[in-house]
Amino acid sequence: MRLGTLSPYSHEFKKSENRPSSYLISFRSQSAKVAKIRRKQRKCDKAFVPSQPCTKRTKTKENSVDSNTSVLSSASSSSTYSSGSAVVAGIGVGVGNNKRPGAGVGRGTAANETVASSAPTPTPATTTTTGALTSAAGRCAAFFGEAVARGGRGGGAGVGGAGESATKAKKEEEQLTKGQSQKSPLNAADFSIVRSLRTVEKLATELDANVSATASSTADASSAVMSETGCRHYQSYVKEHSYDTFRVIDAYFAACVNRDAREKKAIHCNCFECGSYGIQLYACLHCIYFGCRGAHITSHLRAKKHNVALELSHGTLYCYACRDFIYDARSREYALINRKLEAKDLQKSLGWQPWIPTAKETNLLLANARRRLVRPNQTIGLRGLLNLGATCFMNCIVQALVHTPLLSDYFMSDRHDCGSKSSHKCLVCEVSRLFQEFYSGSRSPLSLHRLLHLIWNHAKHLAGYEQQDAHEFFIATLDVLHRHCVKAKAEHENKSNSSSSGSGTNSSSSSSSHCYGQCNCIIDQIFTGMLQSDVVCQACNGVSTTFDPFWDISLDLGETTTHGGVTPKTLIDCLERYTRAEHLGSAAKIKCSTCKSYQESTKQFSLRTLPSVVSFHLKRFEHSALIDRKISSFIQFPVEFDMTPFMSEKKNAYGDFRFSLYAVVNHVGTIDTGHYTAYVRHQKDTWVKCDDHVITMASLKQVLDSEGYLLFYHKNVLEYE
Amino acid sequence: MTVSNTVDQYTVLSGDRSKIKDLLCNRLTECGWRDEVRLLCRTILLEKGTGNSFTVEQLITEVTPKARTLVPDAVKKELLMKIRTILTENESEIEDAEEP
Repeated sequence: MRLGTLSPYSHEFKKSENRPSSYLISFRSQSAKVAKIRRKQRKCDKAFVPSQPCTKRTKTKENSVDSNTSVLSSASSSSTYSSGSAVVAGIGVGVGNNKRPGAGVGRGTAANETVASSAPTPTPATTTTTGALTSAAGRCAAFFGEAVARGGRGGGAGVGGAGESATKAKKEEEQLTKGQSQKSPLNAADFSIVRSLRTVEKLATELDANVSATASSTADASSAVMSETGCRHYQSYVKEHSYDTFRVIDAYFAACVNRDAREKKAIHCNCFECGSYGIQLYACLHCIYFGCRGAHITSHLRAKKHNVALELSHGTLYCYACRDFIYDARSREYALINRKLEAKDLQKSLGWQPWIPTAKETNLLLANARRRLVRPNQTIGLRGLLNLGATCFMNCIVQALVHTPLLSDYFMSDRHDCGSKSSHKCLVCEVSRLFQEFYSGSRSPLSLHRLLHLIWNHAKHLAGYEQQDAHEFFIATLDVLHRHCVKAKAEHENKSNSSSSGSGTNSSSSSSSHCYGQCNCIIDQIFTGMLQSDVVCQACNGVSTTFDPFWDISLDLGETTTHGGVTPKTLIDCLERYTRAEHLGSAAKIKCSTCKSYQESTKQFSLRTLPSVVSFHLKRFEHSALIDRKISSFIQFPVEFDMTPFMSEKKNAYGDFRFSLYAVVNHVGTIDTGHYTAYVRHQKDTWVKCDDHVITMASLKQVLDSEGYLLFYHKNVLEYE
Repeated sequence: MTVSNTVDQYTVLSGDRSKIKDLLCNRLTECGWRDEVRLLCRTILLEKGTGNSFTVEQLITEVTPKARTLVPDAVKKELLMKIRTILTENESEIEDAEEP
């Protein structure tokens, strides 16, 4: 029966000689342009497909082997395993197919790269075919060497003559290569599943090395979802075939971990029935077969009695025996690693992932069954703050910070894990306690003496009972919080390191504390943006670009010196002025790197990256040599606005730069003495005015009509990590 | 080789396919579509899921048409624009590939 199905197959080989070879070429040179592949394919299609439009498909239906269109090949070696129906899947990613067959079938061809080209020039038609098949079997056997050995087959005993029948040859081949795999290591040129697996494993370990935290988090996740073990069919599948096939198929066809994988997917990953690239393709995990959702894959699974398939667009496992999708913790871990690799390779974010509670979180949720339901018009989250003697500058900033959605998410989910035992010295711990107080439900005003004391200790210039500038306090608070976050993280790492491998990360953690542009503490994640400054030389138009991190944007309100002394009226005016090219004048010549001389130049700011929270500081307090004064002019500011015009790369349409106002700090009084109040958005469309211990409802109009000293805007659409 | 297949292959190769897929998933989550469909599945299961006879396939056939209509036009439009930009950007390369 098999011979019958094979003979048309071998004719194909004769007819389209250039087809397999072109594939081989394209696989060999990994850098082959897609254009080249496409051209080759078209040529082949023209030469071959019209004449025999359906042989290819018929053949795949019969055998699930398509060495023409696919480098993946399989061997349905029904007799190899005791189960009798098991099929070994081998993925030959890349080709090099026909080396081993030569040796295996015993035609004496040396197992080297030239053999690959010998396949399309078959001598006896049937033998070539078996060659191709056996090569697959060979690779499978090499890969599943252990499995075969476990099966208790004798090593390398030929059962039937090569080319006699496909089944026999395959069987023999498997045993032979099993022997080979024991004797000699795999040929380097043989792109096999082993090699792909190695690639994937290597990449995975690199990823783990780069992000040491990932390892621990995956470990956490795994311990939490260990109960997910798929179904019994999948368990027995894994027992027999291990996770490797899943891992490689996922890495190459579901989440392509590198360019090579994408190339393989682009060429081979189409439905074996209809050839479509389908919206949802499934890959059989038992043999080499891709099929569209629905009839194509199910008919294959039914016909071959294969159970497990992988859905390729999301990487979900499907069990045909259960007629259901299944979830397995180990497989998920591997899939997650592959997703991370893919994201890293394509430089994209990881995409949305559902929250899976860790064991700790589950226990916490179970232990605290009482839920607090937040309804509109509820005052939870609002608390007045006592004035401890001219501390309104602190109170208004604390109100603004507490009402920062991202910051409250962080602290309310108890993410800060202070490494140091002296947590009473840690400002982050203090803020964490503050959040607990704010949301405790109590309505009495809070006293911030501990917070004030901590700030005094860590930012000496703010110490004392004088009136301070709210903006200065805001920046100082962020700075101290940032430093304590870094410190806590470093101490945490040291602790975990000393227990495992000594202190190796000392240098790295201390260096990360110096350059806060690369830090990923919560403060930097929320508040740090990147400012781009382009200095253009007027002589040669050479541009020198520098980047600086920023926590806030300070905007001038005074008359502009150029453009006829216009005073800005709106926040947008101020920003336009801020990002306008500024002529540096003859007094401030800068050495141009291209001209190698001091030249007049212009300087222009633009926003390279925006933080999730942008705070604007309107410079209402003017300190000059002649006079110190407060500029009380009205500056109109919007509730929502789009920052795209002020970005460095306006064309990059991927980002969304819309922001919404959520807090405004106001100053009443003169430059020497005065009082700070804050408007904060409590819930959507609900604003409150915080004046020390007094909290009153406010309308949006009141907010927008206020003078405005510090304006806090929150990003509307957040990107994924 | 049809145009559609060429586009398929090209987008897979350049990695844009995966980016578009991510964008779609993110937008559908953001606009609440995911939750709506989840709820829809839950309701259907509560109605018909008594006994174990109700399969995933049945659920999918039932949910799919409804879920499709729930996709906001804004999301469809954004995705269409995105695909269009990607294809125009790479038009020359794809055309090169098209030539025999």
